Amino acid sequence: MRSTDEELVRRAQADDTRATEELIRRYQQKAYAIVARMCDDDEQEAQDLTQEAFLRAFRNLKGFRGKSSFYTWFYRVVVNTCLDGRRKKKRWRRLFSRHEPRRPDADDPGNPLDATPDPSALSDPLNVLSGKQLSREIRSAMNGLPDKQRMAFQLKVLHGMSIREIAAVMNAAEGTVKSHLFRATRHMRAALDEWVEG
Amino acid sequence: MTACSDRETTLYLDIYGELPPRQATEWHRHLDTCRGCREERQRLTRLVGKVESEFSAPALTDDSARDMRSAIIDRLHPRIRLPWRRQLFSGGPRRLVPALATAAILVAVLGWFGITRMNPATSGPSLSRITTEEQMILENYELIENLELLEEMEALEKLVELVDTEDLGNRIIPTPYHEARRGAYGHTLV
Repeated sequence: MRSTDEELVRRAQADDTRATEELIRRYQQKAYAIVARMCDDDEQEAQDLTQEAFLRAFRNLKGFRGKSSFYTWFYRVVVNTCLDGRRKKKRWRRLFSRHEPRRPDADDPGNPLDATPDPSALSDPLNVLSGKQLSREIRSAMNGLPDKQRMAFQLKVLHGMSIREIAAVMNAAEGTVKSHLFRATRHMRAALDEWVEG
Repeated sequence: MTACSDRETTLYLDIYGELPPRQATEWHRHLDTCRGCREERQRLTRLVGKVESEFSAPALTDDSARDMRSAIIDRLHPRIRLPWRRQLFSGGPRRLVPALATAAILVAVLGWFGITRMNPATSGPSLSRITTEEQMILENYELIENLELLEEMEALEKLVELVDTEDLGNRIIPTPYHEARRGAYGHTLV
């Protein structure tokens, strides 16, 4: 029989390794998905931050009183760890970027050949438009969002959370979440204007 | 045509499925009459759909997931390092089997070739090793055996005497037994 989160948490609080492992197994992929989408496809960074989130959560598990569900509490830890990690990374990048030669396109250095449309798709220009270029535009627009707006937008659009859940996970008021979400939507709308028109 | 700016929040809430039912009825009535809001709603729905389809759910491979789990568990519950003596026995009795087998073979080989050939005199129980007490017991045992033999011989003599007495009148020719007895003891038993 499948144990409930509450049972597993109780056992994990009593240092039951199996319960701890089962909780990790249960939330590992979801936690990784949240973090990886914030890490711009950097797998190693995403794995490190996911692991860090689990360690933070389990080290503080004895302080979890069960006022909210474990799911909400744990995702809050994941989101905080992720935002902290990105803040640190940005700080380091800012520090070292002064000493690095400036690249022509800091956002996407990529292979210039990638910008050339795929010949197989040339027969259908719509494919070209809705393919690589659109993908790049979407990612670029997403990267342009402030972290909290991006997190709110991703949790809503990519993880299907409700505004109330996002507020609990981000430890913010619902109004604040709405504000982050709507600003992010407006930004995305403006950045991808030519793609959504028509 | 542009959307109504005062309806932007309602439009976003509708896109994200968060519009309360009471407001939804009124909003849909507005959409029926406002082409700008209707078109903007379509554009935003398309935008959200494209973003959604662009980001497929990233997933850990089975190996990465397992490695991550064990790394987390190891850091949460670090294994205690045992002293070497306990490490030796920590694998259970099965771990000792090769060591015991090697030891047994060594003992057998050394016992057979080494001890036997190097000290042939000590291969059996030596008299010098027998204690005084054991020697006394052996002597007593021999004495008891001799006494029993003497008793048996005495009984035999009595039996022969009895038979011979009965046969005096019958003139029995002496048997080789009588001859032997006579020779052995130097006199006639009769």
